[in-house]
Amino acid sequence: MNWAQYIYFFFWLMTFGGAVFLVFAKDVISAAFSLLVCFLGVAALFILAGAEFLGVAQIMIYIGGILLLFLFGIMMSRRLNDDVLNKVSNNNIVTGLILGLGLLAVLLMIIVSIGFSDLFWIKNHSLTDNHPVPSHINSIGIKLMTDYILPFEIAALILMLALMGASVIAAKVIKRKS
Amino acid sequence: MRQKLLKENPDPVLIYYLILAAVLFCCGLIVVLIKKNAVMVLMGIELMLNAVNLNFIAFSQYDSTLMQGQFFTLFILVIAASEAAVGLAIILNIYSHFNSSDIRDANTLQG
Repeated sequence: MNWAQYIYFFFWLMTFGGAVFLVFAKDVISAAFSLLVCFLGVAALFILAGAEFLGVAQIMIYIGGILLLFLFGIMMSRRLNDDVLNKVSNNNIVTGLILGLGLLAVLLMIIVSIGFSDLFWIKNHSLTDNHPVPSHINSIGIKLMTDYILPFEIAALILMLALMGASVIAAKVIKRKS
Repeated sequence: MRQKLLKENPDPVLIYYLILAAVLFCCGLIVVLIKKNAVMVLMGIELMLNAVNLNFIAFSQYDSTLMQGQFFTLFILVIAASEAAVGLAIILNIYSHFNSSDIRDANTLQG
């Protein structure tokens, strides 16, 4: 193992640990912070896989946006004098664990038995690609404005409508409270 | 660094990415199935979306000119952001109406 593989392994373990800790988290705040660790690891793995733009976007959108929304949601949906609501309780534990672990076993079996590394385009790429991979940000911008212009505009519309709708729905509660 | 890794071992990273994505997806599924708190259920959904993104990126690294996987991930990020915003707004409404964030309490229509 060289040092690059140690870095991979570190971020792999970070993501894995965050995800597993989320299952066993005792209260909502520690669950949110374990999710932060997991998202940071995923962003690092994106960058290590050559998707720099998406790694930074992952940090900005997931950690800066979604996780912050979760923290606001946790803060607004609890009573100040009641500690019980912060605790996370489980139901259907046996069913959930059986379904989740069964799906995990099936997925791992499929991944190991298929042998994705024997696919011709993956094998060809790792054999012939010797030049350093160029930065993708330039071509992402160009493709977003040419080939992917329709999905891009639809995504912008969906995001605007969703955020407007969310603020309308949430404003009712806040107005009723004050 | 990535090129060095690929040269030393033809496929050192792809299967690790796939295994990690499977583990993340199943952790998200377990969280969605067994937690009572609605915010935790949303967190599980985000974890599952992240697992799918990880798979797309893992395959897209062998496809350095077309980058279809990266574009799928970009659009999934947008959908995830809007889903989290709408979901949390609905959770706030449920909390102010039923005075609880347990998803099993929200079982009546028209209040």
